[in-house]
Amino acid sequence: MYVRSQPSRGPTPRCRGFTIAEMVVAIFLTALLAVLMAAAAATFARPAAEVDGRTRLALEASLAAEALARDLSGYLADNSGVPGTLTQYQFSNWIPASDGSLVLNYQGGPSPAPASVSVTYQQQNYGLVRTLSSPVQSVVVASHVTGFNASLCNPDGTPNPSTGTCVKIEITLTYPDPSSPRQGNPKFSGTYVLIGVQPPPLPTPQ
Amino acid sequence: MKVARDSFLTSGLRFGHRRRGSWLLEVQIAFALLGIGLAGLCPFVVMQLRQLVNLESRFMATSYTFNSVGGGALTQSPWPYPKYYTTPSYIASNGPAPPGPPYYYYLVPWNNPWVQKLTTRAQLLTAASNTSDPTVTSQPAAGFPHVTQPQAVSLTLDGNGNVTAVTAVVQVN
Repeated sequence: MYVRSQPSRGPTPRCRGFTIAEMVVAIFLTALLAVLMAAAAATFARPAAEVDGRTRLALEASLAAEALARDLSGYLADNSGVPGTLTQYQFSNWIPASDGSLVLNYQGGPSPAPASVSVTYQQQNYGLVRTLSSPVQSVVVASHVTGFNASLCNPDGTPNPSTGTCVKIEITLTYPDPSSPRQGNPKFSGTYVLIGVQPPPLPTPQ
Repeated sequence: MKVARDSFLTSGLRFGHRRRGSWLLEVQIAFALLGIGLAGLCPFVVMQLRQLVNLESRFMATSYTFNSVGGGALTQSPWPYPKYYTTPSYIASNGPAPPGPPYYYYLVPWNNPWVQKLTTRAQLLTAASNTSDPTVTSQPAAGFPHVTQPQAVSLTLDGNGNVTAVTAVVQVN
């Protein structure tokens, strides 16, 4: 049995604390690190979030415009696999509804298909839905849609609900939309305006 | 009875070594490495911003609303800002002319009905008409061929057998 000997004399190790100067330096370095991290977040994280949101808006707007451009071309895309004739699925008229939706009518469907087919664009659950009447088919052409409105207008965009020759389509996109699990800021919203021009009348055959 | 000789406080001092802290030079090197690492992220952000500008310049909104973190809503004109176009550097770069506010886009069908039917897509323009799209006053009779190919497509090959040119002759009526 032995007992721990007494500490030897000489340079005895002391468990010393830290001086006020060391603490000030440590606090200063911690603050400097916090400032650097905040600056890094402001420099990289915010632009990244902004790029993410605005890219989503631009992409969804392009998808919506692409779908509308396809249906406002003058003819409805025919899935029969043949070009058909110039009277088949020709654009007939558009009807902006009171609820903001847009109905595009086409005529000349070959038998046994229905003679007239309509395509409806309307906002449903923060999405822009394109609905074909025959065969009944609904497709979400754009997401993050918080506003969709179609109305008759003049070629310069001024509203003319009675005799307007063009249709003004306003699409408001918001990211994140209210249905998104991620809420709060930053939040981006953009309003895109498309003016549909009627196709020229069918020229007479030679 | 055996008593522990070492303890937590004395273990580092058993051989006479002192626990040393970090030198200021080491801290500075650590910060420098952190800065270099953060600076390495810059190209990614810049690349994303350039792609965003390219994407938005093709199809601009009439207005953007931006709710920043801890701030209110800010509505601004589309990127790049209209003032940007008036800067001397941009004018000197011979950049494209900006579309005038309020940034309306027109969906203009083609004048040729067959182009309408076969392309099945309207033109996305910043004007109500396309001056380069010729007006069609008459359409061919039904069944009349519009485009014929009088001869087969010929290929031009280089010494390695790679195709360098494709020649197709078509006749348009």
